[in-house]
Amino acid sequence: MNRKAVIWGSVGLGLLLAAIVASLSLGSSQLPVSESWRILAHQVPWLGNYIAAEGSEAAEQIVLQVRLPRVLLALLVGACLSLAGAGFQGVLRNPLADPYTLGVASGAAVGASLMILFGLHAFLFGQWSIPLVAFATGLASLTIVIRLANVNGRFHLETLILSGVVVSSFLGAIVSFMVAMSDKVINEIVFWLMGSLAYRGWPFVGALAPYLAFGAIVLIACGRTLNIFALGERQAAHLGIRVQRTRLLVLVISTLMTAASVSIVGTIGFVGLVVPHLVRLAVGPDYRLLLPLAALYGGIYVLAADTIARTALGSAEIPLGVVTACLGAPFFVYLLRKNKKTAGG
Amino acid sequence: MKRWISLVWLLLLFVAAACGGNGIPAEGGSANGTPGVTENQPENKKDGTTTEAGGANGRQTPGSKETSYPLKVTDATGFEMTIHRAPERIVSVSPSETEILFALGLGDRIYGVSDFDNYPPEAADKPKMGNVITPNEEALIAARPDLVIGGISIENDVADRLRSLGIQLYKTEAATVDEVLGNILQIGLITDRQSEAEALVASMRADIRQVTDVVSALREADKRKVYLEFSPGWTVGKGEYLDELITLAGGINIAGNEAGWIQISEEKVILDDPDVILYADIHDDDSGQPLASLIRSRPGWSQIAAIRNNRMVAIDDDLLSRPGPRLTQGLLDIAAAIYPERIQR
Amino acid sequence: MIRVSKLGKSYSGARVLHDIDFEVACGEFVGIVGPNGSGKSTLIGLLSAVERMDEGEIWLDGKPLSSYTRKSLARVMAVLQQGAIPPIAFTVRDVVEMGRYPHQTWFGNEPGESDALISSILDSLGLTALATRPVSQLSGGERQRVALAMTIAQQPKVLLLDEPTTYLDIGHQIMLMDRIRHWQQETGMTVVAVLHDLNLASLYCDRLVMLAGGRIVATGTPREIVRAELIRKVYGVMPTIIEHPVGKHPQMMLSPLSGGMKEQGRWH
Repeated sequence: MNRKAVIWGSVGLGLLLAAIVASLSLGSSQLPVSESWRILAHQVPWLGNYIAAEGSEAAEQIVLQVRLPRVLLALLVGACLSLAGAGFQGVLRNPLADPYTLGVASGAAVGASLMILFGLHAFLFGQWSIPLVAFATGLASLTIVIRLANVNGRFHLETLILSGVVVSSFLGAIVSFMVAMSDKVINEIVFWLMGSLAYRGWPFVGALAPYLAFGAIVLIACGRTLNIFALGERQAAHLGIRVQRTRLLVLVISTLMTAASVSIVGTIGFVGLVVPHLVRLAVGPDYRLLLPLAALYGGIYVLAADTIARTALGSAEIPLGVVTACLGAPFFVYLLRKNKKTAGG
Repeated sequence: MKRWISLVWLLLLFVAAACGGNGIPAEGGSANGTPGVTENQPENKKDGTTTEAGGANGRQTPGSKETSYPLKVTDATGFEMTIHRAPERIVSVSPSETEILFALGLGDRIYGVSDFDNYPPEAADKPKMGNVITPNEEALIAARPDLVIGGISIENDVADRLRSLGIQLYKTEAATVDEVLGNILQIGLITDRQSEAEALVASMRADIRQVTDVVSALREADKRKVYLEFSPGWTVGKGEYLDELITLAGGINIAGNEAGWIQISEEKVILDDPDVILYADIHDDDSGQPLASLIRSRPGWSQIAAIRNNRMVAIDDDLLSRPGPRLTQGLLDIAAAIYPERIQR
Repeated sequence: MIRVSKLGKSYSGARVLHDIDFEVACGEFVGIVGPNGSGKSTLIGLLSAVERMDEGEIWLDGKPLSSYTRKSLARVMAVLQQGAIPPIAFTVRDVVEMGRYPHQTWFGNEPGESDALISSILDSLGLTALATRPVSQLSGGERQRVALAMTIAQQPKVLLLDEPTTYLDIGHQIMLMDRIRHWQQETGMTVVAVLHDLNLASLYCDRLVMLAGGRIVATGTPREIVRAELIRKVYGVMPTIIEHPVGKHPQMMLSPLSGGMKEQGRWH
């Protein structure tokens, strides 16, 4: 086992624990920390018998129905987006690729914008309405991108990326149009785009968890294959890898994870791009290590960002995408400078 | 005026009592000795109340109307809820509804307001619950409200989520002056402040009559064309209460043939050549200029009658944007702005 | 070991290979030569099954090429391309280990010890000192050596070479070809090499196949192929053929075209 992997894995687990503890203890309602933890401990099946449930019903509601699902959702979203980002970077062999490269986020945004524009926030499916439609349109946009890039049953990487850029731009223009057409002065579509984990709750945790579980298993199993992809597609084929099939599998799984996340949280940036890069800097290019660590650090990153988003301003919330960008940009600058040094060296 | 109303209600009461049912006195709850008054009151404004004799937790002044609990009401989301007793801990995340609550004398029962509530001044001192579209979940729960009143900005998915957290949410939505008055009465019913509500509504109707009396003397040809800009670049068309106010004030809204909230067409305003321009006394966020300067500086607008004749009048932004108790103040201001020679403030 | 029959391939309507027939016996070192655009790389692509043939058949070790799965083919056949390893961040040892992929199970294990094998391969190519260095820090020649190590680790029965000496200086070219021949002689491996340098081809190949315009125009030993008349017909230049002082292989010497740019007959 790589020594670096062990170090960064342990650091990651430590950070994860710290982030969870901090996030569960903080909130705009200023609950005493001990009360929050009593409530949580009481829920643990065996331990709970020894710890009396003190604290009011309101505190219990806050900790168990507002904070705890939100913490878990942040971890899931962060893990999904980072894994997807790593997957995209591996299969497109482009370090600038992120989960939004193939137009999934723009597609999801179109669906959500449509729902918001026509006031269909709870049409047919209650709280699920916007996420379900956004998910569907996200997947639809990937289908369009793949179809466009298809040349006689095969698709080349450059065509795929170009197709993704084109479709993203086009769909982005449609979203802008809808923003302009909105007859409300306060623009809800823009808020959705900027991302938020408020108002989701346990049902969404249950919805996203299978995507992470399934996606993580499949992608990590493809770890060795992704390593060999780095040699080039022809060379990978010579070594016995079914290139088209693997590429499609990784892209589809990554897209599913991205679509599921975006449809729930909105289009938050930097997670899928910066986290895999930073992990690669720390532990090297081996995807067998990169993937699980990216998931871990991605979760921590989004959890930290969301905690800041909901506690920094009292009862007001900063849009999550703003915080991930503000946190991510300095890291990105650091990455660029490190790159400059090694490129020059 | 109030005495007349009280007399009328007293009369109706006796009529009702005479026709009414069992005559079971209030169960033990009556704090004083006018049993007749607390009996069955089938005379409630909206949906059926049960004919159980409710607990007498309202004041017992002669002629006062009391709400019978449990009370079934349906709010603007179409959700039917049962109010079991007069709410003691109320949170309002809509500035206009906060004004209504204070006007009904419920100030000390308010345990939370939105970040934007500033009238009456006491409202600004109440605990902050966040914005009007997505108020802060934790803050809401921590305030332990037995009633949360939301305004037009609360969408159905937010309402669903709040209800799933055990919050009793009542959403109001008023697009016409009558609906605003209806809201006041409804809130009075729910909070057992019916006489206060009726008194407030009566005084607002008096304000309206004050204006319509003057205006009825106007001939069609005398009516002035009005352009109202309540937010930079936005005016209002038919179906909204601002348009109704203009019409009630005897003005002709140049945007009145379209519906809803409209982004202005600068050319159309020049063509329509309004006699009076009304604008909210706010600053434009983008340019930092006051709205008045922004309007005056538009190319070609210096030719408009209203600007040539210096008939640009500022209206208090809160009066324009809040469908609450001060709506008729706004109406009076608007009427005085359009016909200063006929109505003075 | 390899049998090719009536092979044909077109790209967007343009015919690139036409009616290709040849055989390669086990343990032979066959060179494929010809001018640019004669279809050499396409032929390798078809032989390694990364391209689909339009007509004809290919047999490998008695079985049709199409009957091999990707992985089973990789257990038997390896390909060494020009510039095979891009400057990636994996270490030399990591890359060489990738050569073991066709023999590994889903979990990355394999029967037997691969660590020792890899170490010995690195050693034999003088890469042991570089084993923990990222490939991106190596020169082109060193990277091609790593590529060779990776192909050796694959332990194939058939090795295809697609102009592997491109971008290499003369020293590295000879070292590479020597190492391949040494490997071939040790293991009895079959080699099919596309080479643009006729002299090199003449030094190392048992047999040559000359392509021009998508067709085979000649096959035979280097002595039979590296002849002035044939080269003039195919390449349009008039070489001087001499015998190598040491090994007696035919070697070609070129002189600039005298006077104007006289276009001599080319077979298309």
